[in-house]
Amino acid sequence: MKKSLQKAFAVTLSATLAVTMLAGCGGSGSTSSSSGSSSGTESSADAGKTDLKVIYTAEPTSLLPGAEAQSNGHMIQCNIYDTLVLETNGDRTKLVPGIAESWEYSEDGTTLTFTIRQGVKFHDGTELTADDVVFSLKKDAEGAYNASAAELIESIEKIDDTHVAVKTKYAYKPFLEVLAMPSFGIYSQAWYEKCEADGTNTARSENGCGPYKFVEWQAGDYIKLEAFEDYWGGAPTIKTVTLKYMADATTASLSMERGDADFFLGLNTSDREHVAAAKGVTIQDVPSNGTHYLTFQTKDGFFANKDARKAVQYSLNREEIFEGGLDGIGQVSPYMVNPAHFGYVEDWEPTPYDVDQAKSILDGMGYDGSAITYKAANDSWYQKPAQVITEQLRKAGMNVDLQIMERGAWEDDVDAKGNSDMWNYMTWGQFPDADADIYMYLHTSMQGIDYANVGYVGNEETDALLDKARYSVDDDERLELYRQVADICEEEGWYLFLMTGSNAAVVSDSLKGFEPHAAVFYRFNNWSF
Amino acid sequence: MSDILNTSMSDAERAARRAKFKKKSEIVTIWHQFRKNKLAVFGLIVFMIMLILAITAPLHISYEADVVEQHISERLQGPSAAHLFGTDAYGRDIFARVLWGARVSMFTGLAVIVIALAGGIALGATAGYLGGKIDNLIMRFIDIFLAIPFTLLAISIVATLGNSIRNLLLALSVALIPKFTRIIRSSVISLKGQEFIEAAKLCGANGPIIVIKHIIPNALGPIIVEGTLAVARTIMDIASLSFIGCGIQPPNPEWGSMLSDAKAYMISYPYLVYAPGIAIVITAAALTLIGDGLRDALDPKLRN
Repeated sequence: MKKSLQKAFAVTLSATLAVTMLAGCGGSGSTSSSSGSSSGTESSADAGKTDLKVIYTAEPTSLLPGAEAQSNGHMIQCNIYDTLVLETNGDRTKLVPGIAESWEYSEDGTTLTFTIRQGVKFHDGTELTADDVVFSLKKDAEGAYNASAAELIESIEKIDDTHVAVKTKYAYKPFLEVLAMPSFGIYSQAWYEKCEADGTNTARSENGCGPYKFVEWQAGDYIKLEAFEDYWGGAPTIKTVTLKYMADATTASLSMERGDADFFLGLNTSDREHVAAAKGVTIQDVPSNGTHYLTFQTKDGFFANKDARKAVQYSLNREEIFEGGLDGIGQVSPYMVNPAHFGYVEDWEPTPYDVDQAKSILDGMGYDGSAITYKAANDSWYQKPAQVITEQLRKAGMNVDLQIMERGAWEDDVDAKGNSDMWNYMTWGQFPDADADIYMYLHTSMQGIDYANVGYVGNEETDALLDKARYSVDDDERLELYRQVADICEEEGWYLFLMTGSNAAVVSDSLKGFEPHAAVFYRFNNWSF
Repeated sequence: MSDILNTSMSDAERAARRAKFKKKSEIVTIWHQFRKNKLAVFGLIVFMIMLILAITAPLHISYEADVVEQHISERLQGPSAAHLFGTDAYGRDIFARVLWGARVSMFTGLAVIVIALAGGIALGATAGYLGGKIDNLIMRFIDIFLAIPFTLLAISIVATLGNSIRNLLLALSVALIPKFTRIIRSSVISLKGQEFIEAAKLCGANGPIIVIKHIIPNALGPIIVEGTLAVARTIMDIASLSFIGCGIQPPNPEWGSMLSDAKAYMISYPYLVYAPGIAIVITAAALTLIGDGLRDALDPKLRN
């Protein structure tokens, strides 16, 4: 009996522990907001602070320009490496001189001649030359992440010690924006060649010319940067930057509320409520430069049949996907071009929501209820819309087998290879133009290339339109061409564009100079306390 | 005794009576012993209620209409008369999902134990009874599996074979087999040398018959106890695996995946985690209490 009493005690204790643990988590919202207020009063004490703490939730893979696909990595790259031209703090449409003092277009618009700024120093103290510019641009263009942009480049040549000419295959309107991406960062040729010779990992070291020097990278823990005092644009106010890795976005937002960090990118939509209520921090919304889409494997399987894709079109209720998938943060956006990018038109209408129509199409094609594979990535950003879509298709009578996979595994299997009947993901326009949004997903020349057109969509007609829009320098003509592409894409049911979210950042109120940036190229030298 | 001596009864009648008397008396003894442990009885009652709720769930809720159908306009509503435990992020009734989740958890939990026991008995009895090289071979193989942590083994099996209920069942069963094999083997070895086995051998019974008819029934005690406790652990393991996404896939309700979905909303809508969390705790605790009670009841040393 005594033994069972002990057991009773142990069981009750563990049950109580489990319950209080849950309850404790529930209560932390209120406690943290009260401590958040204390950090709010500290904000005046923060004035003049020179160390910045940043939280990121996805580990970058490489520091080297052109080798990194993640936005967090781009944010770090744009601080370490300067580009020929730079985007201004906040306003993406205005480009300012960077490593290039000035630039000039040739008459036919295909050649850009850059005048290289003199006296720019690399982090190791050596001076930047035109040779370094040519060398790094050529290397950058070989980078996996730059495949689509690199196709444009005809040649990169040094004219003399202060001039470099970049020739494109045709006049490509947004080419300057391409060169403003951190993926086209400039680094020292001597450093790169030395790395190749002695086997130093270029993904974990650098010799750039940006405002910050790379200090240390502790994988899965933190990355440290330090101000580069000899930066050509003047020494940054913030002297040290610690980027802290936190796998869980909710934990990260709680850290922000406690005042443990000054800047956090990647706020979960479900955490907005309590972060908004906390003092000392502000949510800064910036419309995402990606558009969520649903797409299909059209080479084989269930969706090789156009009717099946049409049935899905009629089954989708975008308002509900937006509400349930993104908690209503952002906007419903059925057009293939991102609302913040050139090429967007407001008055385009997608196929209306009509379940009965979907059912009759399925009946007409003699659908027997066999399972349709739908693999989705496990981040809430993609998983939640997938759950709503699955339910909407079930209502229309489709037997969807939803499989939630770990993000990395999903990217290798589905994003890179298209091994699923259908999947949802996001366009990621590297620069604010329709061409960056859709070319790689729709053009047949991109069929079967990893991460590009892996659903084997597109035809000669859309290829011609896409190419024409790429070559054209007439804005009105380009808008019209892209609209025609969108109409065909909708008619064929290749991609169903759904919505855009928000790249919400949580920013400490004591941080000055922060301006939202859609592609999150945040340069810390623009900030101060 | 008089029954047995009564020559007017036929042999068959007598055998039937004897069997009935003997069987009844054993169960009754165990039950008497079990009943003394109040906590175990409480656990049994709680578990029976959960089991009945799970079995009868389809009578009052519909999987299609109540469990998986989303009502986005009614999302994230707190507990009310219409929705006893509130609604989740897709506007589904949490009460209906927790109830249906009991079916998923209990069915998978029991199925895992049945498969694992079958495997464990086959391997353990073979190894224990035959001994020698075969024993060595089987047990070294089992040792390899035992060296890998249980959850890690299950995760790697699911990750290799892909996410599905079938693979989850397989993974958890395979991960449990080594443990059962060891327990059964040691019972078999301790029973093997006893007189009644010698007697059976003298009567001409062969190996398989001795193992199936004489050894396993006598080794059932520890098997039942270990099995009951393992069901509790398995239900928690299913929840853990589903929580990290290696298990039952949405929209199928499972307590662990419900917790995982609720995690993101936990700070603003804490009620989302209460129902599935408490359901896991209650079921696992009830089964553990039953297992403990059975262990005491089945242990001859504790019987007076």
